[in-house]
Amino acid sequence: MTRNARVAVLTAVILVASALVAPSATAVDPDGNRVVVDHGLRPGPEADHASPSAARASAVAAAKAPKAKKKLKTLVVPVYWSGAGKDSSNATVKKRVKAVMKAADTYYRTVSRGRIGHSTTVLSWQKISRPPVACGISYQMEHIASKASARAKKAGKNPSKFDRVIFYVTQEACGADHWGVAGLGSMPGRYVWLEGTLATNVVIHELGHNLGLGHSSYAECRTKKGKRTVLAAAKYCATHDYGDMSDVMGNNPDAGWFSAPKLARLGWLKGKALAKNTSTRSKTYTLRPLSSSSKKLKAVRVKGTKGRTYWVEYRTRSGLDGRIGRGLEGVQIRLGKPSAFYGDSSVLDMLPGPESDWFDQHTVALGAKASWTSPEGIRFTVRSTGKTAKVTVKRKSAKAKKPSAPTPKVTATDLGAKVSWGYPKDNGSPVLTYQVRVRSSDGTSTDHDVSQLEKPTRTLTVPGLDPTKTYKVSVRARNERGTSSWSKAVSVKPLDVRPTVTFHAPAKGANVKGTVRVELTPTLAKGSAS
Amino acid sequence: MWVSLVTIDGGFENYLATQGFSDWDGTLATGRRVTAQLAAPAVGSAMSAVIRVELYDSYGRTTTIDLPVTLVP
Repeated sequence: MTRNARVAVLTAVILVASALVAPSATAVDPDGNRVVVDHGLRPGPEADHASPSAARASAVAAAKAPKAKKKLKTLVVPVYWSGAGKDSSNATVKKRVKAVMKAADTYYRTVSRGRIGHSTTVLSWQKISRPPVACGISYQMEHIASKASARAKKAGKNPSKFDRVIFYVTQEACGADHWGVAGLGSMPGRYVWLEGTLATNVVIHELGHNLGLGHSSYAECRTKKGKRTVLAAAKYCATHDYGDMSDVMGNNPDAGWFSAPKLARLGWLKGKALAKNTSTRSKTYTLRPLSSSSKKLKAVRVKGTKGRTYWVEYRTRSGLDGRIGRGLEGVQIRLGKPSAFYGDSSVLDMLPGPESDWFDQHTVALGAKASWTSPEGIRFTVRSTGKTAKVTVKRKSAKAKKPSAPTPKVTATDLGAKVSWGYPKDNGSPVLTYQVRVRSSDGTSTDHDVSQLEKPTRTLTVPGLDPTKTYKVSVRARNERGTSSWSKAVSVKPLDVRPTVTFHAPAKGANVKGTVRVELTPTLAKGSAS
Repeated sequence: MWVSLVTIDGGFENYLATQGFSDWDGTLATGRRVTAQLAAPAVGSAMSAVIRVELYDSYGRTTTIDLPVTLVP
């Protein structure tokens, strides 16, 4: 299936599923709090089913996480009814719940820096009467909460004595093919409903709603002419719920860190960890990765115009962010009002593709040397990345321009060439694509596009070149503002690495007879075995 | 890759025994030692011969190396 076809199918399924399962009225929990219906959340792996490497990583994370000052007493009630049976034995469901709640406890102890954690009590399966609506927890939540709470009380665990109550039901009532709701969560509040999944990211996400956090979104903006751009006036931007692939309150299946607006909303990012930029002077900040245990600066809040506030943070593949995609690594910029009650935020896509889709949402970060200029003229420049990222924020910047030409390095390879180049001066708008031109001494020429939209890379291997000819290689870069000139051409003559043989036996000139044993070692150029 | 025992008589090459190796069947890999067993015919008197290795790569490039030996009775 082509990429576009996959996207079309995924989109259609989500739209149909949303129409089928989204309740028409705002749902409320037994305490009268609003409940968020998570129909667009993709469950990641369950902690109990994690790979050995993931299990090792989670054990390390658990050991590193600070102790919690406040342990939220959490009751988990697995529920079934006639027509929606148990999906595992009592022992197994308890094991699964303990594994996921251990992961959630580690997560919250880590990101809250020891402010909260979870201590969990899990009951055996509790049978309740069949809900009036056969399928869909968004319709059954009231019935489940009422009946399962009564059953829990009978089992000696009164839900009103707990800080969090999680009901887990299987998906059997709806059938295996049902694209259901992964979970529901009071926002804020203390109730969670899970349907057919005990995925770590879903549990952490719903517990995030309990803390009062909304979703982390993705901003899809276009110019007046309909071309994709990083940010435009509000009427030219759409917000994709869950589209933030780094944040567990978006759609990070591996439960990555809350983004800076969420942490700030919870009061978990303050003091030296958060800088506020309102100055008209250019200022450079040294950001620690959000997932690091450092108490030093991790995010900058930058006041823009027209009610905009930008949040700048640095993401690396480390700690709880260890599995984020390559296109999410680097400096990320979000929009989010500091006063937003639910900590709402939208990540800005620094490398917007022609279409906004699931793939495009995975490449949003600025890498080293890259810069972006906001509509009001604030330029964010990433000076360097590594253990820290140095980011300069400069107001009243000139409008972004097309990039400068890159400077390529070209190495001859066997019947080919390897071309690499550094990030060029992008003049205020990130490079989206490179083009590599290879001109042969016989006058023919081929162009190769190196898009940054799915996988940022600045190397290209050109195979199939004739070693009897000389080639001239040049590179140019394109950003939103236009295309650079071609770089100065670099000449290369491909290598011709012929196979060789080393004899070990018999010796040269030896006398032989009968069965002759010949020992030798062949050597072939890489990729040319035959 | 072909490993052969060859006699050369006045410009005429006589392949007495040959064994083939290929990465397709896993018998050939770059940098890995290969052992060939060639059955030499009985001869009445000593004669000059070569162990010839013809190595081809997937781009069609060939290397031919002859190791001189003497075939003895």
